Amino acid sequence: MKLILGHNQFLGISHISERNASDKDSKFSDPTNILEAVRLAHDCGFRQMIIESHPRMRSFMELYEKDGTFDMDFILQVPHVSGYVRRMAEGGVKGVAKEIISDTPKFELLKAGLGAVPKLLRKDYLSLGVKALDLEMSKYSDFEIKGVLMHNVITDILLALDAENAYGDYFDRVKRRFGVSGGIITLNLPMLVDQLDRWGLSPDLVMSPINPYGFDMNPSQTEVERCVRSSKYNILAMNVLGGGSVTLPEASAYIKGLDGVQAVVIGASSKKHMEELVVAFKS
Amino acid sequence: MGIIGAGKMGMLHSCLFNKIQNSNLTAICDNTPMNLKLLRSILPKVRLYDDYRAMIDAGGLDLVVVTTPVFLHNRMAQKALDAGMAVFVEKPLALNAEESYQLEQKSRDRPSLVGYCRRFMATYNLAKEHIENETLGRLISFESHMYVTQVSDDRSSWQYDAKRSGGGVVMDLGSHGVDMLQYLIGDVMDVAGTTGQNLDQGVEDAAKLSFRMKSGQSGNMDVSWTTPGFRLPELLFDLEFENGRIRVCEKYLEITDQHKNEKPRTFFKQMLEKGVQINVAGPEYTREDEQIIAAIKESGTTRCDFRAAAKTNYVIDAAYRSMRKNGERMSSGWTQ
Repeated sequence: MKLILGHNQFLGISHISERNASDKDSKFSDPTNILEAVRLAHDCGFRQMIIESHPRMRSFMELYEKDGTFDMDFILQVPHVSGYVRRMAEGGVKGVAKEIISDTPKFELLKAGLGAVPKLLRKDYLSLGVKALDLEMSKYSDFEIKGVLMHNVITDILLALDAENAYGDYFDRVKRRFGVSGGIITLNLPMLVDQLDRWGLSPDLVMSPINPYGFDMNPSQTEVERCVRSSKYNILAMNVLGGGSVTLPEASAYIKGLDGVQAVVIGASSKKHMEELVVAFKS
Repeated sequence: MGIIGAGKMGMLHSCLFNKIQNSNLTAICDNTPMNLKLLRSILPKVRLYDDYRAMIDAGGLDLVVVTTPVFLHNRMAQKALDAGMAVFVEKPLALNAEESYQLEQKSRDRPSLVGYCRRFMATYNLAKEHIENETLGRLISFESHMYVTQVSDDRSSWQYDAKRSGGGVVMDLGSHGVDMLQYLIGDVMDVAGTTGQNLDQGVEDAAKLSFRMKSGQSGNMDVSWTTPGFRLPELLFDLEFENGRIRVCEKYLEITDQHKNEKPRTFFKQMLEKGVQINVAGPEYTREDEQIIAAIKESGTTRCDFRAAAKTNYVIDAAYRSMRKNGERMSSGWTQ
């Protein structure tokens, strides 16, 4: 089973404890520490990693390029959604637009025909969302990106709104910018797959929670399992350890017993944990 | 149903009501022309309004969902209730106890819901079961906090204007804490509150609250939106029982049974939460929306109706009175 290194541990995200998250956040606020952890992962056998378009991960990518002592393939996850959620709460759509404008190099805005907030807001919500993804991707144009994943919050909002055109627009933009197929993260795998089939859309990667407790497997664990077994997509399993609430033997036995999972995405930062993961998920 | 307000929560509920079973999202109201134009392209079949009165007067709605700033809740919810509609209001119910009382009185003959979403989280419901079943004996006392690291340099939005928000962190985060306290343990009898800030010069960023419950227990709650290290809000209760302790927050519940010679047992939300028909920002929001729809269809009740939420407004008002009187203990004033 292929293992892909996740990034939550580097961004202060923990599914089981805010204090645990805070400790990690403090340690990895220095991107040098991220580089060293990723180097450890590489030494243990990891060859792929997901990076969110968070400012901290861009700093890490610059260090990684400068270091040049080991090779990883990177899959970019867009957008840096927590920043947008905060802006949306404080300043509505206009607040989000301002954040996009202020965070993006001028030439990229001009290239996209979006020099100012009012111009951005003349687009519709969906266009705004896809534009936000594209502008975030633009910050990683300098790096070799092997795949792109749309954050589940965006995927699932678009799914709830039946926004066929927005998915198509996103896949086109990913192809144009990086020359790779766009991927999708979702908490609603069967519903998404059903919609994609009806729309005739075919993403390269689909990532979704898959774990022994059925956590975040909607509408039910049974339906997600059925969907994974019959899926024609490359399914990446996330939340496999439930943020640490599931034991490694339980998780690996469950995943190995579920045909259709192509790879497992797991966050780890210590050598011991990484080695345990490699052993546990070895086919 | 129709939704008033197309901000973060309005968009979330629009997504859910657009997709869940037995739901038909037919109208949205927002007073920003730009937002209306944007909404038209997303949901072409939904009727759009820039005036909530016009949306309600047009009729045909079983449910109105109010997701506007707090100072608008009362007039909008009252209008919908007057038109005979069920109403779902995002938390808190109203700006103050007086407004919440008016809404509670008017809503008695129909389903209502206030978006205190933690009532729909599995960890807190497991704690409630232990309290009610007295699995560790009677509850004696509690210590709690609600923290998040969110306060921004820009304090121009309505959340930082007490006239429009009802207050600072006690109203915003503290209302979640007080609601959960009353959900878990029962009605608050009185409260004492202190803050290091002058409430005449702006909203408070932190406060300490001390409660006495009608059922005899007592305990404390710290609330702050400036505590470092809390990317997401954390509402944590340490509950002290005759025979053990329970610690509960959004992410886990930990039980220590003094009569059993064993380590504390931890139940993570991952072990407890079940799937929902669609999850956009957390299963609790889907469950809220499913429950108000079921209550309308079956003439049933919800887990947090206006009566339950009004009690929280009463306690919050008492906490602010106490903070202005140097921590003097104040009755909640809820006598219904």
